[in-house]
Amino acid sequence: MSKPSDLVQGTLDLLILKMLALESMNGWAISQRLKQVSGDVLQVSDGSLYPALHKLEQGGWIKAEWKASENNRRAKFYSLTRLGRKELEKEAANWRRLSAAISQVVEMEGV
Amino acid sequence: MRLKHWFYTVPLRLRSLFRRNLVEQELDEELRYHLERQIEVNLARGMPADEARYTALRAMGGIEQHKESCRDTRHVSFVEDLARDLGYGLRVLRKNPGFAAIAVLTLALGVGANTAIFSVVYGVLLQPLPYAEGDRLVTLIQAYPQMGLDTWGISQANFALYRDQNHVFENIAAFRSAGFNLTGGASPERLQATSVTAEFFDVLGVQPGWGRAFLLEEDAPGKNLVCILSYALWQRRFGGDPQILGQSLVLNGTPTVVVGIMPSDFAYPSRNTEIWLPLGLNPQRTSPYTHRGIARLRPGVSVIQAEEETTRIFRNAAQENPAIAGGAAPPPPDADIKTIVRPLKELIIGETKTPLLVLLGAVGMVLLIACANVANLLLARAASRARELALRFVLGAGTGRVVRQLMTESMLLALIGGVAGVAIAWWGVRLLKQLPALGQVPRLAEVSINPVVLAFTAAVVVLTGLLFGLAPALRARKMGLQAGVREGARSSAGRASRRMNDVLVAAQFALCLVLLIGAGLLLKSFQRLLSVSPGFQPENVLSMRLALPESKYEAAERPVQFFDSLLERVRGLPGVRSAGVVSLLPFSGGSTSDGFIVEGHDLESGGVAPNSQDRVVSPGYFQTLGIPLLRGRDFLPSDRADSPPVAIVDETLARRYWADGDAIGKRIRYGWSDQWMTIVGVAAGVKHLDLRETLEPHVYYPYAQGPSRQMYLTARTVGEPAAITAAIRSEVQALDADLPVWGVQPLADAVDQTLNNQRLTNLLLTAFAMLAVLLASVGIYGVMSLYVSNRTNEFGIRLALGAQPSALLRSVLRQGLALMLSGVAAGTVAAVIMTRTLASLLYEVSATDPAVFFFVPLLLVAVALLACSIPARRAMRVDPMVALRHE
Repeated sequence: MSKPSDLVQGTLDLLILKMLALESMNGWAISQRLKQVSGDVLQVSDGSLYPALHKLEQGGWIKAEWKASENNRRAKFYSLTRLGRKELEKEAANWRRLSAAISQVVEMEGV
Repeated sequence: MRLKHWFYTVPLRLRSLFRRNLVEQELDEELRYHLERQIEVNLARGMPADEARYTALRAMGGIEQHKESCRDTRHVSFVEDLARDLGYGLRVLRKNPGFAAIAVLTLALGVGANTAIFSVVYGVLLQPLPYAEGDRLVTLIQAYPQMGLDTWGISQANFALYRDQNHVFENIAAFRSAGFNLTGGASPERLQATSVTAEFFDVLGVQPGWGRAFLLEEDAPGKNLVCILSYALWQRRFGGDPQILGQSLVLNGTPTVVVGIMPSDFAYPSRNTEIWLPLGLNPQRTSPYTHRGIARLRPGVSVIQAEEETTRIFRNAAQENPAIAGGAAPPPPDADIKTIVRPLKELIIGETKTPLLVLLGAVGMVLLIACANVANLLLARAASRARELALRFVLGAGTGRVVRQLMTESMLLALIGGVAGVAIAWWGVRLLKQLPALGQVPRLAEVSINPVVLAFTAAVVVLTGLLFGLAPALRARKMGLQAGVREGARSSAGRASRRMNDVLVAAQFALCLVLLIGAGLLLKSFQRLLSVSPGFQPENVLSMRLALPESKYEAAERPVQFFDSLLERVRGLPGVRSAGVVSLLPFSGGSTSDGFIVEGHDLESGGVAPNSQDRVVSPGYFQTLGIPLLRGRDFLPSDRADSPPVAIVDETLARRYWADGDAIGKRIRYGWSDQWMTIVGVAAGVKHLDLRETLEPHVYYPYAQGPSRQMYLTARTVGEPAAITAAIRSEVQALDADLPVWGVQPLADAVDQTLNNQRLTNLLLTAFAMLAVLLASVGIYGVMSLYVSNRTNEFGIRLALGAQPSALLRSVLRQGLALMLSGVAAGTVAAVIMTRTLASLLYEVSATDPAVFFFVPLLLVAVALLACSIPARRAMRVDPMVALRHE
């Protein structure tokens, strides 16, 4: 139940990469931002965000370092690696192509 | 792409593995931070503290599961589990030192024997020849069985034909072994030489380490006064002085220039070769056929293609020039004339293949028996570990996880046994290489524990670990599957494990019996062989070799004069009963034969004279060797070159032509000669290569009528034959100070040496069979002990109810016997099938010899009953009171 489906998982990775492309963030901040941007569409429990982050980290797409957080406590901050940046470009392009294709099919009339 | 990832991932994986605590702390801290921030938010929203915490926890979901998912992303749990299982396994072994010692020793013996024998099999049979692309090297033999040509070699004329007409070889050479007397130094010495055509070193792809190879123009009669030294001779005789290049040695009285020195590892055709000389090729010489042909196939040409083409060349040439095939007339179209081409490696390996493979099979069986033993030990121990495993299952361990842990323990055991086994093998190979009996095994110097052998051992270790680990692991799996039904699981798993014990022990006995029967057959065959008479009495006979150089003893009467006076001097020595010379001594490893025609048995036109061994002997030779003269007389000093030609034949030939064997007065001649020889005596048959052979017909004639410059001197002594060596040497020196004497050996040793290979096979196979019996006995002892201790309760009750202790003993022994007999029955059937591979090694013993098949199983059962009697006696002595409290 707490494990997102494959489609959502892929999307989740993409979203995380996208967010981290702008600035380095800690897990808490990412979860807050996720809620802001996607509302309830992505039903990701707070806990299942972490396996996704760790998977990206172990895969070499993001890297982590411990820094002082907004309220001056130690937190693990993630940022994109060079590989992550490339992956984001590739995945984003894929996503655009895919979503464009799907939109086209969905909005087609008189099939 | 993957590589770039490693830049990031490898440090992370290493950190996960080796800084595990830190990584775990960080995971905790990361999640705690999240939780605390959420609680703060909830508090800020006005929730009470409890609710703020509870809501935050709920939003997180199952924290432990998320942690586990995070851990999974590290991909190191396999390694971590393995490390934990290994650590646990080591602790288990340390806690049961007795079990560990027996299991490791059993495995070490099994793996060690396999590694040692495989290293020999690899070094001798499998390893490529030490020449560039050695698999393209072949040997050539010209065969015309009716002419007695089959296993000899090729003639110089044949070589020239093949060389000039073939399209299948890149290069071809011929060579033959030779000997030269080296004089001019401190003492005369006989050199083991090989006469080669100029292409010899090119065919093998090896060049001299110093100096040069032979030139094409040096390979002609009269031009061939150059030589190449072996590294060993260079070091031994000339102290490794490079100035020797360009200098002359006196070989057979002729100055010969040293043009090259071979590298130290070059040993073709044998390690004994000390010097190579050009053959001095004469393409017109159609005999003898004693040259070995060696060639390098063109890439892509098969041995069969080469054989077809060289056979065609040989057949065509024989039609044009019958002498090529040793005949006087062109051979008939259906004549079985061919050229045999064989891979060089096959020739070098020779007859060692079968014994080596038999030994490899035998050690394989020993290893299987060892595996069964360890499996039984593990099963027995598993019974006492049942509680531990049950606890694990109850605590939620997955079946797979427990099986993996048990397999890890088995592998650990196999690994330790394997390492100890390699140590045993290393020591064993050193020991093997020092055994004098191994002197005749080819390529022995190339045997070592090398990476290929170690890879084989590693594979064996993994396989053994799997084999003996399987039984306990399967049992645990069954336990895991039945973990719910506690009571049922226990008894049925117990029964299943007992059945597995029984099957393993029966299998051990079957394997053990196959080995024992194999060893029994070989030993019986060897016993037969030892009782075979060679046809002469080798004890108290000393033999040595002499070769008179042609330069000094050119006239035909010169060698006769020399040997006459030498024999006279030797017969006069104290301690010498008789002496004689012969052109080829039995058991010296050589064979010379020719076609003979008996008067009144003329050949049909185009027919071929039947072959007999021919020997030139002096008077007194038969007496010296103890070969009985059955009829007629020995040669006499009066049988001179100018007296009527005479011969002595052996009874094999005599019986072939005259039913009563009375050949005296009949006449015989060489197929190529018109000169009749009158038969004056019939000698008993003599074996000439080894004890196994069937007797071949022999023709002897006096050395005065067919002088030979190379002779074996034989002397029958009163005492220890070797003791008169020095005396004979000085007699030779007195006659010719430049004449070396070599090959000094008591004849009994020469006969004995032909048994060495067999002795070694017997020794090893018997040792392996004994090891198998020991292991199988330990196996049945262990299983019966388990059986008795499991039934202590029952035995106690039976004793308490008045059963006779002897009845209990019988009941236990009966149980053991039943177990053995099923193994023995299976083993007998297996042995009937398997011993067929031994047939070629056996002498006058059938591979299904009834006596061996009857007594050997009996012996095995007796030994096993002895092993069973120890636990059986324990059953007899059970104290009823203790037994009832048992468990």
